[in-house]
This record gives sequence, structure tokens and C-alpha cells, in this order.
Amino acid sequence: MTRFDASSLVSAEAANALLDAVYDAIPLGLAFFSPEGRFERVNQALADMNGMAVEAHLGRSIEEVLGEEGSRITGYVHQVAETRRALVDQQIAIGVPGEPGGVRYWEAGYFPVLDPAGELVGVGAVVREVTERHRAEDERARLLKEAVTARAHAEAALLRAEGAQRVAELERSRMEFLAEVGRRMADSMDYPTTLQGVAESAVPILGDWCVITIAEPDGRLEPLAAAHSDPAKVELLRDLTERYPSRLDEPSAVTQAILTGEVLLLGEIPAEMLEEAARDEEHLRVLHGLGLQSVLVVPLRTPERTLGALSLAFAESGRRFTDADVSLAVSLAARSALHIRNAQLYTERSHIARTLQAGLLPSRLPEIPGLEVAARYQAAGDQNDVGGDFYDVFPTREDGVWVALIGDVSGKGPEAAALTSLTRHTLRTASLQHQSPAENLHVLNRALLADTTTTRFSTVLYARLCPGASGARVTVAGGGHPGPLILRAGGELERVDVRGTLVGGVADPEFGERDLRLEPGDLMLLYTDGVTELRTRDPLYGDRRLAETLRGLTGASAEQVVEEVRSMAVGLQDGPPRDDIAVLAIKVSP
Amino acid sequence: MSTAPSARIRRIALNEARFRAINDRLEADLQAVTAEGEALDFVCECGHIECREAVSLDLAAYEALRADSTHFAIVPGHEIRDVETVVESHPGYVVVEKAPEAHAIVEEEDARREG
Repeated sequence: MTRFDASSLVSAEAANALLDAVYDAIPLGLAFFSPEGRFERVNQALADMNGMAVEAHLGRSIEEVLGEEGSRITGYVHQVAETRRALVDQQIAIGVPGEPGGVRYWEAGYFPVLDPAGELVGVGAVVREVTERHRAEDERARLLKEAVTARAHAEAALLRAEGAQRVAELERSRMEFLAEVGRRMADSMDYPTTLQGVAESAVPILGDWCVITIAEPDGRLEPLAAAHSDPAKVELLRDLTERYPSRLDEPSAVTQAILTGEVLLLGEIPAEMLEEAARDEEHLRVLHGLGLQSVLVVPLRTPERTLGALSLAFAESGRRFTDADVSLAVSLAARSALHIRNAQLYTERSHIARTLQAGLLPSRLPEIPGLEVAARYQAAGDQNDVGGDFYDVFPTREDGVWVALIGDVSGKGPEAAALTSLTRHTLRTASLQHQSPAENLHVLNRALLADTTTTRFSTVLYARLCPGASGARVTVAGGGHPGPLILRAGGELERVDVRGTLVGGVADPEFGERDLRLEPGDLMLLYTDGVTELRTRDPLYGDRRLAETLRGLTGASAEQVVEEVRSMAVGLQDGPPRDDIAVLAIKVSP
Repeated sequence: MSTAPSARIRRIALNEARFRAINDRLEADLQAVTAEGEALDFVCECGHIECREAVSLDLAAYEALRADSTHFAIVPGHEIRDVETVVESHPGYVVVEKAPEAHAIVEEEDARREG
């Protein structure tokens, strides 16, 4: 509170001069208002703040100077006038006349001015311009908002990016999983082993448990593969399925999926469900022990029928199946079903091929007095096609005369098998009528040309064997087939050149014929080109290796020779043989 | 009685709860420097991985939203229909309520419910 005591001053003029000096010197806005709120005195600093001359203030109300926004200040002045109490640190944001549209910030204090008698003379005001400080604070707040907001959005973006990365990694691991499954299935047609591997690789990507069940024709449900990260759990499951075998006519999630062909997802496994499934208390205890939380069963469907089911379960991990899990499981089940079906077809076809192949070769070789005879046959590739190589050894109508054949029918498969059968049986029949090997090849040539169902041809080496008391006479005829090799008892190796055209290729073929003499201990080897034709740049490499092998087998039995030659031929191949291998050895007993 | 949430519902609920926690921190950081009625750019609380958008709410609107732990503010159209329902529409944002099976998750994740 300020009291005005004129007696303490030298004079009123001096007091005014002092006041003017103070008003001018202080770098703050100073004003003196009448109790009604009119400007009575203003210093230059405040006039500058308002953008008006000092004189333009005097006698005018605050609103007349500052406009409507001045009413707030008028309110302060009136409050001080009424209460006679000062107001300090009042923050004012106001538009000023000298700065249209601009906002200035003031920090102001208001105090009553009383005369010595305590009567109100007016209200004084001290105003500090704090616009720059306010603007700096506003700018700081703006920057803070921007920074904090940007940080929040960056955190959110990071969270979403991490989520996206997890999704991408999950998707990549799923794709890798399916690729691995595809590789496993392509590598082998042994589907129980393959699917066991598939089940193991499905854990834990697709579940804590993975079981592949096959519905047998008699209604039994056989667990083909089972996997869990803990082998003891797998044993527990095996024990469970042995003690409590399941059948297709018993209600269960697996049978439901197989019978309906629909995916079954059990998001949770209530206790009642286990109680209904259990056959006795022990069964229930073991079922509880599996700790199943959620189960997904996908039927193994093929176009013809549903083969079984792929069952996945989450247990101790506490995970739940996502839509992506279901989608991946459906893909896995489709691949598994196709693999099983393909493998079954492959097995059936292999069985047919093996049966047919066996019918094209002698079930056993005859025992020929004075001779050892041994043979080996190995089909090319996956043994799923009937090969075109053949051999045969049989007696003629002449006493003590035998025939040994080896040949190679062009192509593979059923047509080649039919031609092989025709060739063998035609030569067997022809040998009953003709002694000459070449003549019998002519008979075969006519028979093959007469068969209009095929354009295939054959190579044949025909050997007429006449074993005697001290060796054997042999007459060989060739129809486009490699000549025999003779390994003498002393280790010399001879190649017999028997020229002749392919059998069944032309109407007027030429079949060369050679007479040979085998002494005791001599061995004659008949073979097909699968033994020597290797995929190397050197076309004679196989022939040289065969010769080396045979030289190393001097004195060996016919059985040893065919096995060693077969082994050599397979060993020279890069992987399984690409061509059939047939070897027939005839050795004169020493 | 609500059933156990699927993995997908759980994942979406947890994601949205994490965005809400970010917004809570944003609000706390800005409360002292924000004027009444001033709009703030909160993070869209939707469950879409690719979303990078903001929703504008003033502090009063945000507090009204946060009064219910199962409510989230998202950009209109960002709702995932089988896991949440739009319960309020405002200029620039909608309020969704989580599906009942996700209530326990978002309530558990709500730090304001602690204590």
C-alpha cells in the first residue's frame, strides 16, 4: 500500500518532478489510474508497450485505450480500489493498439494509492513486458509436444514393425518348413519314415505334438508317425495307442475329421471331453498326463478318399492355433496325403514291376554237367519300370546241348516287357527246331517284324553250348550285341567279335556266327551294355575297366565273377545305375 | 460367460493395449504444456501392423476414453470387426470396444487399473 505524504516533500512541484524522473527512469511500465479506472499518469515505457503516446492515455478509460480486452485490467483496478489490497503477478495476454492482431504478454501488479488520511487516491500499476519469455515458453512447449508426440509415434511404429517382422519371420519359417517337407517327400517313397520326419519337423512350429494317423481298411486307426520334443512323451503316446487302440467307428476328434473330411479345431480341451474319451481311470490319467490345451485335426484327403488325419496339439507351451497355423496344417496335411497316396501307388507299381521282371528272367538257372553257370541282373533307376535286359539258359532237344542267351530290348516298361517275353520264348521255341544260332536269330527277326503292335527291336547274343568231357564247344551268333569275353584259365582275356544287325530292325539282317572252344577253367562272360556304357568322355573306359576286373578274377568261380562284374558296373555309375545290368558267366569246370 | 480368446484375438488385444500404454505416456508427458481443448496427436490404437496414423483428441476426450479399459481410439475404418465393435464416432476417430473374450486381457494390461 502506498501513502502519499506531501509534507515530507519539499514542494508539490518537486514531488511531481521526482515522480516524473522515477516514471521515466524505471524500465517498467508504470501507470496511475483514478479509482474509476482512467489513466491519470503513464510513463513512456508503458506508452511504448501500448504503442500510443503518453498523452493519448491520459483521462481515458482502460477500454478506450486497449479496447474490449482492457476490461480484464479494469477489473483488477476496481478490485484493488475496493479491497485496498494489492494484486501481484497477474498474467495478461492482450492485443495492443500499436500491433494489430498481435498478442503481447504482460506480468502486472496493481496496488492502491492512499492519501495520509487513508483515502483512496487511485490505483498504481507496474507492468512488465514478458512477451518474449512467453513466446520462448510457447516454443519450448511446442517443441516438447512435437518431440514427445514423435517419440510416441516412433515407439508405436517400432512395435508395429517388430510385429511385421515377426509375421515375416514366421511366414519365412513356414515356407522353409513346407520346402523341407517337400524335399523329404521327394527324396523317398518310404512314406512311414518320411512322415515320421515330417512330424518331427512340425514340432514345435505347428504344435507341441504332431501325430499322423492312418485309417486301415479294417477300420483300425494306426498312428503312422508321432513327434514331441520330449521322446518320453512319444513313448507315452505309443504305449497309450497300443493299450487303447482306436477305431474309425469309435467317436473321437480324429474319427470326426476323417469321416467328415473337415478340419476340426478344439480351442480348449475341457475336462469333460477327456472324461468322455477315456475308457477307464488309467486311460483318463494318461490322457490328463498329455497336458493337451488345444487340438487341431486335419483330414488327409485325396481325390479318392480320406486316408487318415494329421493331429496337432499345443500342451505345455500354452500356445493357441492361429489362422496361419491352421492354414499351414492344411497345406501339410494335403502334402502328406498326396505323398502317402503316391508312395502307395509307387509301391504297387514297384510290386507289379518286380513281379513282371521276375517272369522275364529264369527263376533259377539250370545245372549243366561240366559247366558252372551264374547270372546277375540289376534293373536301372528306381526299380519301378520293367527293364529291357534279359538272359536265359535252357536245354535243347539234343542231348547235352544247351543254349545261353543274353539281350537288350529297346525301351522300358510294359511294351519292352512284352517284347522281352516274345524274344525269350521265340528263341526257346526256335532252338527246338534249329541248331544254328544265326538261324534262330532269323526266326526271331521274322517274329519281331511280324508283331505289328511294336516298332521296338532287340539285341541278342545267342550261345549254343556243347559241354564235353574236357571242355566245351560253343557256337555264338550276335544280333547287334557285344560279343562275349573269354577269360582263359591262365588269365588271358579274349574278346570274341560277333558281328550282326539288330534283331527286329530290318527284313534282311545279317547275323555273324563264331565257333569257340572253351578249355577246363575257361570262363565265358556274356553281358549287356549297362556293364560298360558309362557317361564319360572316354567311350572305351567301361570296356577297359571290365577287362581289368576280369583279369583280376582269373580262377574265380562263375558266381564270384558275375557278382564282381555287377559290383564294378554299379560302382562306376554316379549314383544308381541308369541302365539295366545283366551278366551271365559260363565256366568250364576245371 | 466369455470363451477363451483365440491366439489372434489375444495378439490383437495385446497389441492395442501396448499402443494405449504409449498414449498414456504421451498424455502424461504433455499434460503440463497442453491447453484446455487443445488437440493432441495420439497413436491410432488399432491392431493393424501396417498402420502409422494418428487420432486427434483433446485431454478431456482422452480421459473419457480411458475411463473404460475395454475402449480404444482408432482411425475410422481401422476396426477389426470380429474382435471389436465401434461404440462411438467422433470427428477423426472412433471408439471401439473389445470383444468380450478379450476384456480380461486388455483390463489386465491396463496400468491404470493397478492399485
